[in-house]
Amino acid sequence: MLDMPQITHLNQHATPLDLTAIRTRLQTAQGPEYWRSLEELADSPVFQEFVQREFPQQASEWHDAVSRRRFLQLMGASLALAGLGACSQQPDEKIVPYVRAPKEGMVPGKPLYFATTMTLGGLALGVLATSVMGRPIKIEGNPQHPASLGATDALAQAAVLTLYDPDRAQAVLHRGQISTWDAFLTALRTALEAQRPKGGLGCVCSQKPSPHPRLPSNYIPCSDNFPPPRGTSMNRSVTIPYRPGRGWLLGRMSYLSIILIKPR
Amino acid sequence: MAQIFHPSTNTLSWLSIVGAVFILVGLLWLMAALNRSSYATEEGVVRQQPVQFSHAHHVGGLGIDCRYCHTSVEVSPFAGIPPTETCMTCHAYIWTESPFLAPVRESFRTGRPMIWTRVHAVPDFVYFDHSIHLHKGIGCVTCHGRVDRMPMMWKVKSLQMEWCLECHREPERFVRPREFVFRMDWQPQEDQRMLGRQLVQAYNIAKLTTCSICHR
Repeated sequence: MLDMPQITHLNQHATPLDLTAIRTRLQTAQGPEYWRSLEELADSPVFQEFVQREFPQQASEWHDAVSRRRFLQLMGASLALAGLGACSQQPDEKIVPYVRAPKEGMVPGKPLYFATTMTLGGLALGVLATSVMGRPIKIEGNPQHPASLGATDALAQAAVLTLYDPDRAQAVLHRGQISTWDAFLTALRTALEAQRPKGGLGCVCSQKPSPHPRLPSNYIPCSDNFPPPRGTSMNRSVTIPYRPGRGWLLGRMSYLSIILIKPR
Repeated sequence: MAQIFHPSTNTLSWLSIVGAVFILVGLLWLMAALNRSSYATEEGVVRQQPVQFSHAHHVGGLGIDCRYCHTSVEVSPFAGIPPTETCMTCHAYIWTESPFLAPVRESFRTGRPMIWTRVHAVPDFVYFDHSIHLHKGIGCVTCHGRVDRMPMMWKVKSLQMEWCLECHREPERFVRPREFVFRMDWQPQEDQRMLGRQLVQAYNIAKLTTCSICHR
């Protein structure tokens, strides 16, 4: 296109990740650390350059194959003709009704409001969700819930987007290829059985912080005398001061909760 | 040096200047006419539907009320398209073998909804609410026409903004007593404007020509 050399992707020239170095760094790290990709964690010079450059390589090059005059002509013409799009029929719309309508509550065309909770950093936040014809579209705080008092934060506001996230896993993947749930369970069982002689030492369970932490043995699909794996809390949000501490392994959770409504 | 242009080109140049005005006006007229034509508005165009459902038979022939199927018309912006279940309340017992109803039975058996083509659509930048129009005494017929005489569904009004404003400017020309809004054959006994003026007062119909009434 426009005589430009092909844009090369970052990964093609990136050196393979130095996993040993990452492991050493992680072992000596103090306190919680957050990263979004293994490249970021490795912090290689290639990655640093990628972050520093706001635009991809060669984005700033402008080979003048289309002259400025021609460009302005085309832009002017498209601006002048833009209104023509209105001189047409409306696009067809489809109406897809229910086969069996829900028995109660729902009126077609009107939103429904639900009082519900979402967990953020291991704590429950009372929210009101707006749902239109079965599709949640908005989350606001629940004024009657002590943890919310009608307020939400950016993470709660954005939580509804996770439902429509195109990056959300839609199927079981194995090395980028779509696989089946059964195949996953078989692979998991094989991996877990290999851990049995080691007493579960090589097995770590990672979970989101939850107000009711379940010990990993609760949800490992082979229950018969399997040694308990180590539990790890994967703290994805940092808004709430949260400290799993040793209480986690005892099945209890201890966290710091600050109540700001009645300062003394 | 010889003349490049013949003297007659003087006349031609004057003609073309005058002609340009006519051509410009003609083009504008053509655009306006096209925009109001049934090609653009799809007025009177019968739309293909998954089932050849006849309002003429169900409403005109059998006398089923609008609200039997369009259940939410009095309480919601959207009148509602009936779930397959509603068709099956009767058609589980009558015309059970009819080939015309095969898509309905198919939908009910498989749980896959029927996909209807919308006949009356306003653009997304227009807010329209069925319930308020009914409560202020606008009958179904006023906008949808004699649905009880339509074997297949079509639009009788353009649904363009100038058509909306006809009524929003002078609601007294169209309002009717609330109890008759679902009647297909209602005609005013007295002068419509006299009755309309009384009803506009009685129903507190306010000024309706503010942009934000519909463009919210």
